[in-house]
Amino acid sequence: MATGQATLRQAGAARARRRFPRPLGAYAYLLPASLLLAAFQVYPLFYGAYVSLHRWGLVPGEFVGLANYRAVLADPDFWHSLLVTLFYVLGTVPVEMILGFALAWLLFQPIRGRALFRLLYFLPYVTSMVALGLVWSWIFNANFGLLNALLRLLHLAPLNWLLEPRGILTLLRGGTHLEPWTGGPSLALLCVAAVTVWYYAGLHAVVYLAGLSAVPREVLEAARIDGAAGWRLLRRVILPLLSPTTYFLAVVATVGAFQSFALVYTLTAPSGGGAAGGPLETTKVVTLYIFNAFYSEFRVGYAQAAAFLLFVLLLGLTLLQMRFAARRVTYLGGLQGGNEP
Amino acid sequence: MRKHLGRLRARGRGLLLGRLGTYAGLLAGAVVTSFPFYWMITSGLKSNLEAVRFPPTLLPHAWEWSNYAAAWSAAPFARYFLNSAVFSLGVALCVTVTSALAAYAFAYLAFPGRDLLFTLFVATLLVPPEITLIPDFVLIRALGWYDTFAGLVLPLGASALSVFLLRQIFLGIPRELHEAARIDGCPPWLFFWRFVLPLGAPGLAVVGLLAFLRAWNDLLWPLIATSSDRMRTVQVGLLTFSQDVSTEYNLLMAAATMVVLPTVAAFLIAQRQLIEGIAATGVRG
Repeated sequence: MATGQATLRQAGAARARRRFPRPLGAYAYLLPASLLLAAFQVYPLFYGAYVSLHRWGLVPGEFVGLANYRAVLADPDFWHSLLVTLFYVLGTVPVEMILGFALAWLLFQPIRGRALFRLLYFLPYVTSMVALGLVWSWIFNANFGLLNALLRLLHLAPLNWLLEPRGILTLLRGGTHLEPWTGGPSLALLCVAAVTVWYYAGLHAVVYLAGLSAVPREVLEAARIDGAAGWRLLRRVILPLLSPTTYFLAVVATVGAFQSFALVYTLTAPSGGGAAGGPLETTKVVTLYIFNAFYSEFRVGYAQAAAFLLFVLLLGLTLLQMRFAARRVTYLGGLQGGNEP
Repeated sequence: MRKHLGRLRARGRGLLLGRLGTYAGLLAGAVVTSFPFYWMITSGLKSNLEAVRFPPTLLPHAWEWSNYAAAWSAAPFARYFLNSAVFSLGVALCVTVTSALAAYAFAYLAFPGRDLLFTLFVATLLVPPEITLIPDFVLIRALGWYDTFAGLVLPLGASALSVFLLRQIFLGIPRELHEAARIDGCPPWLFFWRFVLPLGAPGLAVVGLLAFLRAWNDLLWPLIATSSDRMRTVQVGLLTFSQDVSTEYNLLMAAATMVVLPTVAAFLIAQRQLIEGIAATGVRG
């Protein structure tokens, strides 16, 4: 009897594993996607390395070894753009995550209209960054913008918002001069960061809400019966259960913030035309630096070398996050289905 | 008894306060999220004078619907929309077809090197866009595709993430169906055509819509892969328009509203499936 069941189970497993035995046909199904991925994702990786090792302007030039990499690392503007990016990442990622979680927690309560709220929070994420960037530029406009109109109505001094190169610490101290390091990120960069947070908080809320909804009711009930409520429930039960979601969002958001282009570009491109990243390059994040070297200065090999350096930096950062997470992220067998990276 | 009642009432009050706080927080979030959209639409319907007037008006005094016609003809927006439609629909179609085929092979066909190939597919997700940008640009120039639709569409025409997502969806199709089809001698292509595609249709729609949204909203690739006004997409067109009409904020907001409309409409139609699809993958554009 027992052996009979075992054979049956074996037969079932074997049958489940068996697929259509048509090897050549299978490659035909894979061909279109493989071809495109190979041509535009894999090959560029190697070709990019080749480009970065050559003097490459409007036309390909001679092999120069690591000279492009050395030149990037020796350029103070590159390091400045990394500092700007660091301010930007620190000003966006944690805020997005906290706001996203707060909204998700509110949405998780027994409320009416959850679908409508969720839809509204999600709206920016499906909308063009160029259009929204222009709307925010209009709101931040120093002459006719809504924010300065509100300040005027409150009898407060107007601000230059996206045109303000002075650091926020300088402004808080009432300083009038530009302080390169001690002034902190410029008010313009803070505006860009605020718009970024506005754009992504809803996405984080939706992903967190999916994580919260995947927590089994029994776990929450058991925690309640054991007397966990309010803050303690959140701190001791919910947040640890959501740690895979938090980890996933932190990695994706950090990498995304290092790569953001369209919003920063639209918000800081001067209206008369010209290079984005102003005022006084205080919003020139590293992607703008690379884009500028490539698109405006035609230093193709140089820009590619900078892109590889950014890639190495991001890889290192992700590995760091992984090591940090290994100690803190708790997986509860399959709870977070679909959300593990 | 009275003490007990008092405690109950206090608890009820606490609950009510908590409920009110929840709604207050949700409403605040909703207002902050949607206000820029409101401001874009209403600014786009004001006269230029009213748009810059102090104090600002919450609703237009006179609704200037003619702003849309004025913005539409102030730049070749008809051409931009056509370009964006061809570009985005092309990407959506290309991604859906290539991903469905590949996902089907990974889910249902047996062939040597399947697991290795699948790992390679997923590994392409690790290649960041800033690395491939310049080589892709050099490549489409070498192929003679610079400033053409082929050069715009094909580099975005396959997505390992979509393959991964569709494979999961295809694997969710009941195994018994596959068994029955195999026993009845149904060839793989027929099973794909008659069962997998129809049953996976919702997943295909999500993958196609995500690809459409990504292409429609993309700025960087169209900026680099095209040069002529004739090939500009709406995003590049809107950006250059904003630099040309920098002081006519009402026209700019009307143009922005038009550019946003197709994606918002697509989102409203399929919002539940889209939100769940994105929540499951956490893609970030």
